[in-house]
Amino acid sequence: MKTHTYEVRVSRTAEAGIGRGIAGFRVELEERMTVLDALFQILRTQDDSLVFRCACRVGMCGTCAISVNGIPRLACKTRPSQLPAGPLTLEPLPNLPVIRDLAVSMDPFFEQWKRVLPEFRAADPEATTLKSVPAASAYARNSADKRDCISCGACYAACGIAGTNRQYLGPAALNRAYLRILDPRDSAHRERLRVVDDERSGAWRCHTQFNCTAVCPKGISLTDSIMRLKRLLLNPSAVEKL
Amino acid sequence: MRFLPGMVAHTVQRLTGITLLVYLLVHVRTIHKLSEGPEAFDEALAFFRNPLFKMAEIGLLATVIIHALNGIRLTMLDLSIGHSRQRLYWAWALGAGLVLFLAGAVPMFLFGVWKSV
Repeated sequence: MKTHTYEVRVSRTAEAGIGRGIAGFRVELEERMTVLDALFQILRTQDDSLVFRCACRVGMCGTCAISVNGIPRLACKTRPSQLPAGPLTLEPLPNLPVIRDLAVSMDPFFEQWKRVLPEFRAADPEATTLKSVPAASAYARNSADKRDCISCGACYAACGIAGTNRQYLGPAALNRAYLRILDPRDSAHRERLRVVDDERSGAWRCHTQFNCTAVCPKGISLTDSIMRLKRLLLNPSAVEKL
Repeated sequence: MRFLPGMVAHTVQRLTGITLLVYLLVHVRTIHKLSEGPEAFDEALAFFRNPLFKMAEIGLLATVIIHALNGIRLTMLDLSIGHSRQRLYWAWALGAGLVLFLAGAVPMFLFGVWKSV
């Protein structure tokens, strides 16, 4: 198998996010190997103090999201061979506090996530039969390409508004709110609409920059969800008719 | 975070918006000179006959065109029309903008700047 040598520049911290600097490494990778493989190679053969996160290694858990050459991506799904030639620059996700090296605290992301009441709240908690959602329903049609969020935080890290306004809900939370609001089996859409209607932190803060959509590893059009939420906010009675 | 096409479009829209606001303020100020009489208005207009202002006018044309075309792109996206093609729309806005700009800028340069030099 053909291999390539890559120069990898990794953002390092002394401890607790203090003393940031860049450490250079050289790694040998096969064409199908990923940025995560590069990190493991560095960890095993060159520097066992390097800190990064990962779990599933197949793009399902969202744990390994880091900034690769300035763009938030999943390390396990990004192949250096498919990136433009040149050194690989690996940094922690922007807009989130650094714990150490490439590991960030996801607290700000999940604080916003929790605000939109992300869990299902049954319209009829006493129901004993399953409620089906027809494939032709508004929920099924409008949510089909928006349900795959793995809460990796890439969208939050890429969002220019989240970077300047800590109160902003962020794209993932707004997408989650949109899905829950659309769901005809759910009962808390009024509370969620109130949260996303907030002038300082809600959907209205989105400036259509498309950074979130561009970096989403699952290809979710988060900006579209936010635009649809804005239209629902202008006409809340439309929710009842869905 | 690297600048991606959507972010470039966003930044261009803000910068052209600010430029148009400045132009509008200068425009209103100049028109206001009419209230001071024809001489004051003529004097204000004479200031803008400078070739540098003629060049700035060509820049203003580019600003108006790109702001308007990107505005149409944003309105379409607000209405969820072609979200997956937003980069293509930006490329179209730039391409169509260039054609419109050249159609206006060439006569403006030839009959405005060139003649006044």
